[in-house]
Amino acid sequence: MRLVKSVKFRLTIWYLAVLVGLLLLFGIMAYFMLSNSLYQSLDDSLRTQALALEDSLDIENGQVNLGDTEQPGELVLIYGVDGSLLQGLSWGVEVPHVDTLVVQALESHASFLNARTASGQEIRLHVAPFSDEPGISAIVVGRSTEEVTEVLGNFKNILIIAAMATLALAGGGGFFMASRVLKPVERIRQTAQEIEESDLSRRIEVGSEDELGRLASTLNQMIGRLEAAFSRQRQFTADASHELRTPLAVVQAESTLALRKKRTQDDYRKSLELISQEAGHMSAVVGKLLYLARIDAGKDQVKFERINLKELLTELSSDIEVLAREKGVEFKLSSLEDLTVEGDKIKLEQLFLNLLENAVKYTPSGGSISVSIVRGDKTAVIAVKDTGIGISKEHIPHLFERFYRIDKARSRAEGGAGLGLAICKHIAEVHGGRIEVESKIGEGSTFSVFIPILEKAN
Amino acid sequence: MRILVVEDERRLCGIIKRGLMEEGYAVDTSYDGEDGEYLAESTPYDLIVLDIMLPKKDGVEICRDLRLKKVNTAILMLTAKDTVEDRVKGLDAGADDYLVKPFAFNELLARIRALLRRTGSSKSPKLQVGDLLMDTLTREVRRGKRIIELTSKEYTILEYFMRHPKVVITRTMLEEHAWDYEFESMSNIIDVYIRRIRRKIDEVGQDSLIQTIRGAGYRMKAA
Repeated sequence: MRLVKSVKFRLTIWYLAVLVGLLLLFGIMAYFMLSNSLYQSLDDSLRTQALALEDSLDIENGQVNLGDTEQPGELVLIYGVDGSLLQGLSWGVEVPHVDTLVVQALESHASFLNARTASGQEIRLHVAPFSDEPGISAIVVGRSTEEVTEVLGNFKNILIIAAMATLALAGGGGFFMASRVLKPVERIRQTAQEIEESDLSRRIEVGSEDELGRLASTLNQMIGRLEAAFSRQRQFTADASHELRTPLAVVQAESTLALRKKRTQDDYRKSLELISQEAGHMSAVVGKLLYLARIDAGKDQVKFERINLKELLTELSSDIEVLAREKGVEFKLSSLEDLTVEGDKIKLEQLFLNLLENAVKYTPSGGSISVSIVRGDKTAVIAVKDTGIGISKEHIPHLFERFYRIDKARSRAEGGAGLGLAICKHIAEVHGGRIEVESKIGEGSTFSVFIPILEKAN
Repeated sequence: MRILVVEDERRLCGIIKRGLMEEGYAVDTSYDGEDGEYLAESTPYDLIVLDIMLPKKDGVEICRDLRLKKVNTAILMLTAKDTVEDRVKGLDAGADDYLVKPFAFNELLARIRALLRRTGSSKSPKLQVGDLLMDTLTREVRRGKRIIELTSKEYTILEYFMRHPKVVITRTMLEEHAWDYEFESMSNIIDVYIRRIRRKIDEVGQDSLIQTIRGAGYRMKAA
C-alpha cells in the first residue's frame, strides 16, 4: 500500500501510461500504413496482370485463348458483353457481389474487392473493363491475400512483442530511475527524522544543486534557525540561573557564616542587611525575567495614549536630578521640543528612567548628563548624553542583548543584571521606534531613542 | 595557613574572606583571572579558592596553567556550574576539590580543612607534637591537660609550626603563610608573636618547643 502511494510508483505508472498510448498510436499507424502499402502493391500487380491479359487474350468464337500469360494460383474470370461468364480459371470462388461489379465494369469502372474462396481463403479481386477485344467486356483477376495477411500478421506480432519488451524495460527502468532520483528525498527524510532537539548541529547532506539539493539546503537553513533559537534559549536559561545563583550564594554563605557562632547584635544586623540587599537584587532580576518572559510569550500588554514627551521627561528629571546631585554629576534638560507621541506612559517612563539611571551610574562625579528632544524625520529623537566612562566598540553590537554585561563584576555590584537595555530596546520597538547608541571610551555615551511623532490631529 | 580567594562577585568574595579570617587563615583576594593567577604564581599559598567564571581568564584555564607551571598549591574550585561535565573538567584541569554555589559556609571550611590535611604531613584533623595537641576542627590547643587560649593569629602561626615539625621555618615563610598582603612587614612583629606563643605553650623549667635557629628562623622541636 505504501509502495502504491509512493511518488516513484505513481511516476512510473504515469510514464508507462503515456508510453502505452504512444506505442499504441505508433503501432496502429505503422500497421495500417504497411497494410495499405501491401494491398496497394497487390492491387498494382493485379492491375498489371489485367493489362497483360488484355494484351494477350484472344477470343475466337466465344473461346478465350489466354495465351501464355497464365500464372498458376491465380484467378481469372472473363465476362462477355452480356455479363455472362465466358471463361473462368478459378478454385471455386464464391464472389458475392461480383455481378454488380461486372456491371460497373461494363460501364468502364474498374474496381477492387475482397472475397473468400469456398475453402475460406481470402482473395483480392480486380474487376476491369475490357474493351479492346470485341465480345469481351470485363475481366476479373484475383490473387490470394495470404502473403499479405501473413506479412501483416508477422508485423503485428513483432509490434506486440516489441511493445511488451519496451514497456517492461521502460517500466523497470523508469522505476529504477525514479527511485534513484528520489533517493535523496528518502535520505533527507531519514536525516530530518533523526535530527532531534539535542543534535541540531547536524545537517542534511546536500548532494547536488538541483531541486532536491535546494530543498536540502532550505531545510538546513531552517534547522540552523532552530538551532540558533534553541541555543539562545539555552543561553538565556543558563544566564538566568547564574544570575539567580550568584545572589543565592551570597545569601547562603552570609547566613551560614553568621550562624556559625554567637555574634554581636551589630554583626547580625550587618548580615541581615547584606542578605536583604541580595534578596532585593534577586527579586529585581526575577521581575525583569518575568517581564521578558511575558514579552516572549507575546502577552505584554500596552495601553497607548497621547503622551507629551516634554512633560514626561520633565517629570522624570526631578528624580534623576536628586540621584545625579548625590553623585556630583551635573544634570540638565537641553532643548526639549514640544512633541507628542502615541505611547504607553508607564513603559516609556521605564525606558527613559533606565537610560537616565545608567547615565548616572556610569558617569563619574564631575561629569554631566543632558537630555534633549529633537524633531527628526517624522520621529521624535530623545537623546540621553553623558560624559561617562563610555563603551568600547566591540561591546556596542551586543549591548542590547539579554544578560550582556561589559564588566559583570562592576555591573552586578551596582545591582544590574544586564537586562535593562534589552527591555529598553523592546519598549522602543513596541512603540514602532528604535534605540541607538554612540559612544567613545573615556568621552561618554549618547543613547538615542526614536519614536514616531503623532501628527497633530485636526 | 594562607589562602587566596579568586572570585569576581565582590560581595561573595568579601564574605568568604571574612569567614576565613575568622578561622585564623590569612586571606588574599582577587577579582579577576589574570590577577589571581599572578598572585597564585608569586606567593606560596597553602590553598586557592578559585571561581570558574572569571573575567579575563577562566578558572579552569588558570588551574591548568598553574599546574603546568608546577604550582602545586591545593585548589578548591568554587562555581555556579554544577553539571557532571563541569565538575569533571574542573577536576581534570588539576583542581583538588569542587564546591558548587550556593554553599554552606561550614562545608567550605570543612573542605578547606580536608585539603590542607591532604597537603600536610598529617591526615588527621588533630595535630600533635610531643604532648602539645591541636584539634583543627574545634581549634582547641592543649599541652597535656592544660588548655591553651590563643588569639587567631597565634593559632595560625602555631598551626604552621605543628604542620611542619622539625623543619626550619624562616621569618619569610611565616610571613607568607600567616599574613596576607595587607601585612606591612615590621622588623620584629614575628618575634613578638613567637615570644607570646612560647609563653603560652611552654612548661616552666623545660626547653621551649619552638627553638630559635640563629640566622635562619625557628624550628618546632620534635617530640
